[in-house]
Amino acid sequence: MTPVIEVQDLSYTYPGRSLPAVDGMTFAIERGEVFGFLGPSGAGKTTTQRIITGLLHGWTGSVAILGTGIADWGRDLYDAIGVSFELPVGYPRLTVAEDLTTFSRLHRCATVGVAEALEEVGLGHVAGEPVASLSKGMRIRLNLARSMLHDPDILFFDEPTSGLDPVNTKLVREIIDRRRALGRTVFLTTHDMATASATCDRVAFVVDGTIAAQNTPRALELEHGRRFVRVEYRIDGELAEATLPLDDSGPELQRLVSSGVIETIHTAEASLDEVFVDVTGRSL
Amino acid sequence: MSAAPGGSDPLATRADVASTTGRVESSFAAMLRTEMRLFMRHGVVATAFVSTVAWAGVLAVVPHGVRVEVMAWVLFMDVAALGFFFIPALEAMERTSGVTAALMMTPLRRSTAVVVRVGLVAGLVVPCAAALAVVAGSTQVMNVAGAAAPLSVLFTLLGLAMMKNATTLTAYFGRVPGVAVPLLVPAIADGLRVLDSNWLVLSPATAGLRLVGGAGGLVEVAVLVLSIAALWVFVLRSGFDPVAATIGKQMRRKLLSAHGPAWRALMSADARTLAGDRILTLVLAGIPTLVLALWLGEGLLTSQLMDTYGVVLDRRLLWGFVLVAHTPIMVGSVCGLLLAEDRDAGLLPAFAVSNGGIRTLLVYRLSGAVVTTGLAVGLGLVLARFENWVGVAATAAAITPVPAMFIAAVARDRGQAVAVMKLMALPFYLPLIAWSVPHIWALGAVPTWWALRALWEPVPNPWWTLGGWIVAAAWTFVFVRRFERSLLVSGSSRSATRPSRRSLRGRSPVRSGQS
Ligand SMILES: Nc1ncnc2c1ncn2[C@@H]1O[C@H](COP(=O)(O)OP(=O)(O)OP(=O)(O)O)[C@@H](O)[C@H]1O
Ligand SMILES: [Mg+2]
Repeated sequence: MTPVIEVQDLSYTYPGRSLPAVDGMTFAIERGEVFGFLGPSGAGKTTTQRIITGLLHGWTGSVAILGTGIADWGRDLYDAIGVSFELPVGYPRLTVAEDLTTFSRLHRCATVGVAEALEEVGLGHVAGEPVASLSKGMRIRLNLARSMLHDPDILFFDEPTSGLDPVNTKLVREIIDRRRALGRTVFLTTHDMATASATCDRVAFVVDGTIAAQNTPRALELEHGRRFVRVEYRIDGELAEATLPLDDSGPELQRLVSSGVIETIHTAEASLDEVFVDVTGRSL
Repeated sequence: MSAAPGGSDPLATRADVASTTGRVESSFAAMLRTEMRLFMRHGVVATAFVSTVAWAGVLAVVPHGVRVEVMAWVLFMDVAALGFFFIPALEAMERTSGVTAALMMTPLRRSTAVVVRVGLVAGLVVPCAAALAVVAGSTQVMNVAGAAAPLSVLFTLLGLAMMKNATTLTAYFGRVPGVAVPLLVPAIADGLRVLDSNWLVLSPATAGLRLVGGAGGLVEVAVLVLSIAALWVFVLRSGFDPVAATIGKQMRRKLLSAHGPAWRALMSADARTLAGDRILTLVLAGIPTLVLALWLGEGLLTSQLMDTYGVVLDRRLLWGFVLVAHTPIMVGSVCGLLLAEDRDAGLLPAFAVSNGGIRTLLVYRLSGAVVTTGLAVGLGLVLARFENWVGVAATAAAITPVPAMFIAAVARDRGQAVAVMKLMALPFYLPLIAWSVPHIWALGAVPTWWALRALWEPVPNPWWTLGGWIVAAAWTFVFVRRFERSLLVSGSSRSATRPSRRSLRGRSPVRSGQS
């Protein structure tokens, strides 16, 4: 089966810059996959997304969407993909509903109602408010709603959880899961490792314009993991801490448990946070 | 729409869903509806209406013999040029709010968007032109209105072409003199019959002016149509590039965090913003160009007006208009526009919480504008050999903060800033009537009146300067206060879109506790 997005040896340098922003990037995304695009600020994630969505010209390499090179797609490309930008977007003087109505009518395949789209991102109550009056988190969710209006096959979410509270972060994760269940493909650029770990089928770490590692979150966590158990216990009334390797913690753990002085036990498997530090060589 | 396009030929699969024409029609309708909302909410319709009513009033009082002639000038310089002012403002708003990039992520074609925009402006201009033609007693109302349509298309497309990749209005207006002078000078020379040459029609503005004046024929129509076609191609080929446009903004943000005294940081940020689009040079070059043109053409112009209309144009009236009234208003407007754009970019609250506070910004901006006006007016007066140039330049310079702060205080975004700029021109130029009726003391409320009187007085009299300073200072104070209060209110982004006037009036101690 042809990949939904196929990028080969992609390179791009912004005019007037000496170093390339994207430098020999190669990856492929299958239908129905949620693909996480992670990496430090300035690594070239947004630039890659701009190229795939046709906003940048003058790159080298090959980029195909649904088997067709992006140069060969006309404006129809934008019925097949939906893009949620990293910065807030919207007509300041229109209401939220008016803004979305405008965009939904520009697609020829808009099947999702505006009310329904707003409900899904939890903005139903501000439909009649001017876009300029929304809070930052609301505007990010408005971007999401706009990208999903025409129920595209491929969704590009650039930092969809930035500025969101935990409840809305969970809502975004549910939106992504729902899209996967419907067979849509999601290209998720994010700094939110917990969301990436919870939603992505595969993640790629971008460093200096190239992919430094890509795999399932689980495999990366295991590969870069330092699996251990951290135990807090009391000894002579004082709090003490022991860190035991997970594979070989049996006897020592049993001794502490039976002595009855344990306060907390945490298994500290590697999370994507640690993978990030390992792969990108940057500290958190 | 979940039927995914097949990997082999996505275009064919998509084409099954709807015919191409069906989509064009519906996106056209969607854009039209949105555009009408934007026109209403950004004050385009209101401005067109108010200025038409105001011009109708002017036409009603000018002598019968010149009404049609005056109407042609009004249509040419103001009514048909509506899109030239407003469309760049809407474009700038869309570009900075990300809407342009979002529209590029839809199947909408740029040509559709441009057609809607240009067509709606023309649709607004035509009834205004027809109304003015009726008031002027023109015998060819249909012809005048019909000529106003292509003229407005020309001006709107010109505005779009000049926007190119700019994201700010100040950048746009900086480009205006460079294009307006070569385009308008032939038209004005032709319209006033200062020059008599068939070559003048090569400027599409000349062709347009002749047509709205009821003159002109096939050649004029051909020139206008060809120019529109050329601009159309240019506008579609040089579409906005949201990625390239972000580079300048990053530069500006970096500069604002520079160390050193506040005014130096502000100056380097402004200089980069302005110079990045060559505005400073162009604004500064635009005024001297006008002065120079007037200096060279003064004799020709006055004698021609005498011969053609039997009008005696005193040079003190002419220079008073260009130097004493127009110059401070233009410089002040650029300054006010800069503040309106800072407000749109969310920079004003950032200044307000910075060490210097918002007053540092105002002191720096306004004094820069005052000095610019003072120098320009002073040099112009010396060039025109006026004796009392120090006193007049000092009075004219003091006017500058008034239009600047008026725009900054009243306009809530740059679209409104343009509306305010257009509408305030009338009261600011009104004191010119003091030339024939010097004793309407109420005009003393307008600061330009004092500077004009200072210029026109046969004997230099410091009281005109002093009076002008007091009036200008009073208005500046009022508008600065209002500007500062508007910052407090728009601190919550919600009120940024709601009339701030109402919320300000409602701020009594009792009500402020509730919400
Ligand atoms: N419009 C632009 N013009 C010039 N250089 C740019 C532009 N946009 C980005 N860059 C540069 O390209 C590089 C990659 O930027 P990009 O926006 O792709 O990073 P990113 O991975 O998305 O970062 P973040 O996580 O902060 O969003 C950076 O060095 C950046 O400075
Ligand atoms: Mg980014």
